[in-house]
Amino acid sequence: MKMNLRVMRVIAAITDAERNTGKSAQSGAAPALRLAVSILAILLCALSRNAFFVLCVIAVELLRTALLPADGVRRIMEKLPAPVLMTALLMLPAVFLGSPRSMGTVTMKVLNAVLILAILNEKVSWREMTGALAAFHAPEIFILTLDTAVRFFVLLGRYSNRLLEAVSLRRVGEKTWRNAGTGGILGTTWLKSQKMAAANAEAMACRCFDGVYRKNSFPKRETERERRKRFAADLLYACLIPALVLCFFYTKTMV
Amino acid sequence: MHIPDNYLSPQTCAVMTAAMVPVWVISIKKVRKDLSKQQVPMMGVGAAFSFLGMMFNVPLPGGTTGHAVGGTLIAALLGPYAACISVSVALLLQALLFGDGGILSFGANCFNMAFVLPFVGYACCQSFCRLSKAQTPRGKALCAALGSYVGINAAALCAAIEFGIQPALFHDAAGNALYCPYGLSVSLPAMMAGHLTVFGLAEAVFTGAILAFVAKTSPEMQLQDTKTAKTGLPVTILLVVLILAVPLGLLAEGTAWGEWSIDEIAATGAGYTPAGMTSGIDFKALLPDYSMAGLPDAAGYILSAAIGAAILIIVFKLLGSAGREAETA
Repeated sequence: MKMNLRVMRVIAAITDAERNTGKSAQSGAAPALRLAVSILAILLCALSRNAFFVLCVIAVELLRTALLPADGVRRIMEKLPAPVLMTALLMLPAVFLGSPRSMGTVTMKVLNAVLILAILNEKVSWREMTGALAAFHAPEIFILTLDTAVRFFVLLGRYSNRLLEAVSLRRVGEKTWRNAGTGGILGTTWLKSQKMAAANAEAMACRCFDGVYRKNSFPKRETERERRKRFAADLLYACLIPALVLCFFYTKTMV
Repeated sequence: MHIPDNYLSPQTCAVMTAAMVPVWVISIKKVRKDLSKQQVPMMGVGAAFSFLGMMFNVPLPGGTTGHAVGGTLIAALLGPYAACISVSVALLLQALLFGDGGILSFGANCFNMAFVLPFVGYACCQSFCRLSKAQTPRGKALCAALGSYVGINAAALCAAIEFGIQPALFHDAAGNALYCPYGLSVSLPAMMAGHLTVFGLAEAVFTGAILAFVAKTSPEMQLQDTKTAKTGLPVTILLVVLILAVPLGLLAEGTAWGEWSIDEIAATGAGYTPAGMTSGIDFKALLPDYSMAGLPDAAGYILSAAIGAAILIIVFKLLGSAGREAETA
């Protein structure tokens, strides 16, 4: 159940990103482009056989992180230690088996992936992310399921934690409570989820939301300067795609 | 001016580190008192500029090289205590990650470049401003440039003395030096000739040009009057341009005086490799000499510059953020 708290915190950070940072990708590059570049970078890093490409991407991502406001930097850096240390620990046997480079490369790849996703989460809100998925023609049912699942993780996580707290407060020295409590909490949470799902369907009907996600539309009242800025940001991100591919093939030739 | 390991005796290194401890303590206290938490990230930007400045090697006839440090630049922007912390952190990163400057000699390097340089440079800058009654940004930038020239020469003088006293203090029965083999008669002219001419000029140009640029494009970043200093877009662009331009530092061939490797030292005129150097510590950095085996030098240099500058800014931003949280708690 302690894990539950952590999962809830991580997912709450995803869904609350827009509210916390007050940032909108509409002030920069299009979310769909950001998502495409991020996925491509992670994919190419995973495919790269040596550390050069991964190191190049890490350098760029670190620079991007450094240029964010201090609170954003802190939020990103908080996400890094756990997965990186866990990977290093899992890869530790490679050092004793005579392949210390593997440990470094894999750990760097994980650091890179987490860093890219953390920056993406910092810059793009969850609402914009679903819009970006729609721009990629992802099936509506897939986006709806993902969106609902993520939001329900938070709501049900909060609910089950409140239940857990209540049970913990009432548990006085009897060990059998622990087992009974877990089953009870999960069962009650399941029943609650059914009610919430029904309420969600009614809320969707009330708001005339039929499960079709609109692509991110740009502000209607956009000045010429804003339009140019957005175009420049989009162009920069679009240029990153061939740059990443070229850098990948260039570094692939190196030993 | 980065003194590598084994050039100074462990005793000298211990004395220099002990001398730096009170300076760091006072600097941290002064920074906490005088600088707002919003200004702490600016120290990171200053440290990044200093780090990048040190990567632009300038050649000198005779095969030696040198570089700017930027300590007076940070002192002019945020005060000498902030400059001391910023340059110390930049030097620590250089020593640990890039093997530039020794681990044992970290205290000595900090004494020269993070204490003497910014404090002397700042004092001279203030004196020049007072004497010339400079009020305009251009006038202040000129005073800072002159101050930085004096500052870097004072730091070079300290480094030369540290090198030069080694043979007299630490030698074997045959009279051979155990550490740096060159006495004051060689180290003083060798260090000062470069710094009084080309390297001093490079420091003055680096300080003056960046201060003038900052005063023109991001005046809110200047001096301690503003409590909400922040990095503007022009400063960010300048930082990126400097990172991309660092391979220019590779055009300077040769090794800086007093920074030779153990294999090179006998051929520099010493005629032998001092015993203390061969049995000294040998720290392996992650990216030694700002390069990576298998990667072209220029690419390795840019990568090192980007990683180093980013880490410095991130560290200071995290410190500023932690400070704000502690204040609100």
